[in-house]
Amino acid sequence: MIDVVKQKIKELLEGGSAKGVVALAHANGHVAPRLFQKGDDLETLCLGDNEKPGDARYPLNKVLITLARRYPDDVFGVLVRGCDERGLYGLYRLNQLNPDKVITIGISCPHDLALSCECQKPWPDDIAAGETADGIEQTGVREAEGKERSERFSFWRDQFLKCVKCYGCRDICPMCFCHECSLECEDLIAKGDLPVEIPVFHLTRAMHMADRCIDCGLCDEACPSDIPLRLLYKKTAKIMNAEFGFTSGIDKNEKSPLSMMGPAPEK
Amino acid sequence: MLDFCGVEKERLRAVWVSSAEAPEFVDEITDFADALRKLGPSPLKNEPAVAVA
Repeated sequence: MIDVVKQKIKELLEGGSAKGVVALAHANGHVAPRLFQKGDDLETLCLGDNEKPGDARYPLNKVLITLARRYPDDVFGVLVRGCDERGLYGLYRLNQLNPDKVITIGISCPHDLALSCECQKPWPDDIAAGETADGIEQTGVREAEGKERSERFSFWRDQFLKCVKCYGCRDICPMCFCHECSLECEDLIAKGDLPVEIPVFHLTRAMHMADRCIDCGLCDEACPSDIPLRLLYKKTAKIMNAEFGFTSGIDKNEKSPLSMMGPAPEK
Repeated sequence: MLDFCGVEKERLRAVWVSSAEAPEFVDEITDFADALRKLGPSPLKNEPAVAVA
């Protein structure tokens, strides 16, 4: 699979259709993001496979946004998995990236990775390499909803109490790009105080994820306290879908109901 | 979302009242206050100050 990706990157760079390609590389024993440019050695290229396939995922779209802001006229290639591609669709919609300036190199995820990510669509629409594994059915939200209210309350209270307010969930999130963040607005969130205000702190972020979260699960991976953040955002996504028939990141030309005036669109 | 986190969703209400509708505003607030009184104190009120997992 990696040879196909290397070939594709080589074609993009040497053909001049992309100024650079954002991908991953082995560096000092780690997997790190890297911008490959024409003439660069592709030997260090990596698909995020450290010990297991795809166990070193990284929000490359964030790097891409930084580049696009700095070099708005240049075209960049980017390595994407299914989740990354969903993220791109969301970022096009939110005017953070111009689809005409992005070329994707899509790779599909193996079954084991799809399973550990509980991923419903472990492949991008535009696949350059890899066999497509089946989507995994998600049951987490339904199970959580099925519990008694008191049980739900103590579960989430205990989870939120563990928060050390590191902002890791926001910083890793490929859909978080705002220059000013509500979670750092001192009128809303008291600086430095722990535990965070329950459930305001986490629900504030959950609300902002409502039409954005593309269910990549990086927040869960990043959280040092193992708070099941993704489950929380899955619930907001479920509400968005039930109310407006909208799911973030499944359509390249999607529009969010939260940015429309007028009656709710037909489901 | 509150309900999902185990907090009674009746504790949050969003109502649109025009600035020219004082009686409606009073009615809404009175009604909400009564509803809250029936619900009793919030389960979030008596949280331990510090809890480390």
